Parts: sequence; structure tokens; C-alpha cells
Amino acid sequence: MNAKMKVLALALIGLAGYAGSAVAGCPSSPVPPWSSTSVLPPSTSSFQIAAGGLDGSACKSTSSLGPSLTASATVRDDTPNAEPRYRFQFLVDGDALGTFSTTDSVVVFSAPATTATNGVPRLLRVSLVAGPGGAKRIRFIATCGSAPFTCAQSSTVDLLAGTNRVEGDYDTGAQTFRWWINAAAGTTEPAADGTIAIGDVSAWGGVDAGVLGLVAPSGSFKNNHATQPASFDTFDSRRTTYIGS
Amino acid sequence: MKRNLLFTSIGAAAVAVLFSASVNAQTCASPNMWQPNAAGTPTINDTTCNGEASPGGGFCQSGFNAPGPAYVAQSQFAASRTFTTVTFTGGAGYDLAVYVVPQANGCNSNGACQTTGDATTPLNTGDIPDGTYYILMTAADFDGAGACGPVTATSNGSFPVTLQDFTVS
Repeated sequence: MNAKMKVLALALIGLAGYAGSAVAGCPSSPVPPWSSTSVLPPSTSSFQIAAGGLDGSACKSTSSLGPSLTASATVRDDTPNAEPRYRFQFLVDGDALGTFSTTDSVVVFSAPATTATNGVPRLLRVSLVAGPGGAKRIRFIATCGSAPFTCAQSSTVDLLAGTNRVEGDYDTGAQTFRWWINAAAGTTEPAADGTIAIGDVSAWGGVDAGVLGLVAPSGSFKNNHATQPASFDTFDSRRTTYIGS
Repeated sequence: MKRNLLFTSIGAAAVAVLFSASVNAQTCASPNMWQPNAAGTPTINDTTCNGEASPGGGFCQSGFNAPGPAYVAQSQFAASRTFTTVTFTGGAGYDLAVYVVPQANGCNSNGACQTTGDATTPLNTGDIPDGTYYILMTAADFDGAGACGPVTATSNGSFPVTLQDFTVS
């Protein structure tokens, strides 16, 4: 039960020596190890691999959206299979997005469910939202078992400049979603920064995928941040154990 | 003397009606039916503090917290519109957030938003298809519980003006 589902660190991919790299030392495509990419119009939407990993490695990925509410630039991991418990972690750097106005928002990670229920096809969304004075924060929108089937919390602490580490634990057995942002270094699980009670979500059948990258921008984000990239690195997902650093 | 008294009474009544437009709460049950003309008149110059109580689930399918009350306007947009932007200003006591929700998604029920705006981000005509929308002006995701304050909304053209009511005599 201590199984690691998958480690999708782009740095490791780069070291594996893929041919045809667009950036020296980096793979030309995120697939594999990701299962697929989804880059939806306009044509200025982009998911790319770039130099300068967020964890000190050679490579990272960048995601940017063209000016459309339906734009998308994501990668998808189909390794999860109706997981009753799903832990994940990724690094994100939103500095190139500039300052946020109060209704700027964009989804950076989501966990699709096995079975869409009550019109909700996922068990979790993680968004970048605004903090005071143009800062950015993280908002967790967990699917929960009673109407309106979304239970959300925003971090009350601004993201740091540069790299930020986001970790979550969606546990249908414990009926909680717990989250950490920039937890202290180490692999011993600290107290969660926040906990959302999710109730009985068995109807959704567990987590069936992980999707990383920008999608679902608010109107303000679309108008203020088109083509500006967010950077991602070191995605990891597991069933049971805390990931940490 | 009697006629002057009558005029005075009529004037007082008119002033009362004018004041009622800004003093009455603009809620889901009684939104400001806002249809500015080609000159952008009227503008909204009011407060969010007397508005609709914040929904527990938030706005835009829980995309944002809803910490404070919301000033509710309802507007109908059609192809004959002349506006290109609607701009907003907030004020002391809160950080303004604006959520535009299709009428079919409910006024204050955490329904999907069509678009958003705020004090530095205007609404753009290209983001609002023809139809009827609630324009909810309220406190930002990160504001404290109950945050509210003054709000102005200014259109640079019509949505267009629609005929709300008429009488043939």
C-alpha cells in the first residue's frame, strides 16, 4: 500500500536522453511519461518543455493560454485507476504571470473522477487566485458529497516569489481533502495547512487521472494574462504516503 | 398657496423616488434593472453593503469565496449594443470583485460565471453573448467576512436600452 503510482519529474525524463530535444538536455514532448496533452485554441495556447527546472534540474514545463475562456494547455496522467486515495505534489512558479487582479483565476491541476456524478466530472480542482495587493494564492475546490457538491478553501498565505511546492491528499475513506503549501523540508508528514471535509463521495468512484497545466481561466485572467506562462516541475502522485521534499 | 403646496409635495415625492434608487438594497429579489443608454447613462453609484447576503458556496461554482454582500444588477444584452467596456471602481472597506452570471444559472446560487471583472479589469463586450445576466458586485475572495463598500459601474455605451414597461391611455 506504500506504492508510488508514478513519478513524472521532467528532470528525470531529460536525463533519460530523448532524441530530438527542442531544448538541449530536455525531451521534445511530455508524452511519455504523461499519457496525453490537451492544447485547445486559440493557437497561442502552449504547453512546452523549457530549460531551467524549478528543482535545480535541467528542464521544466511551461503552460500558457491564448485569449479564450475555453483555452487549455495541459498534460494528463491516466495512471490512476479509480483510486480511493490520491496524493499528489507539484512545483509551480507563477512569476511570469505578473500581478493578479481580484478576479484573476486559472486552474493549474485537476483530478478527474471515474464517474461523473451530479454534473461534476472531477474530484478536485486547484486554482491560482488573487491575494491582496496583486499577490497570488492557491484555492482548492474539492468535490464533496452534498449539494452544491463543491467545497472550497483558499490559502490565507500568499505564494512566494519563484517556486512553490503544492501537495494534496484526497482521501475518500477518511472523507477529507488535506493540503500543504511550501511545507517544511522533509518526508515526515507535518500537520496539514488546511482540511476540507468532503463527506461520502463514493458515487464518483475515486480519482481516475491527474491533469496539470493551465485551463478554465476566469474572464479577468483571459483578459489580463493571455500567453503569459506558468512553470511546472516535479509532479508526483502516490496512493498513501506523504511526498514532502 | 395651495398650488405651491401641491408642487412642493410633488417635488418631495420625486426626491424620495430618486433617493430610493440608491438607498434600497439591490438584491436578487429586487435587482437594479440596469440598461444604460448610448451615453452610458445611468451609471451605478452605490454601495455593496446593503446587497444580497453572500452565498455560502461562493461564486462561479466555488471558484471564489463570497465573503461579503453583493450589489445585484440585472442587464439584458443584445446585438444592437454600442458599449465596448464596463469599468468599475470600489473603495474603502473591501476589494471589489465583479461576477457576471447568466440568468439561467441563478442570481446567487454559485452558478457558472460567464466572465469576471474588478476595479482594474473592465468587462468586455466580446465576453458577454446576447442574453440576460446578473452582474454581482461584491468583495474579493481574500477579503474578510462581511467586507463591503462603495461601488461605481460605468458603461461606455448601451447594452442596449430596453423598454421595460409602457402604458397606452
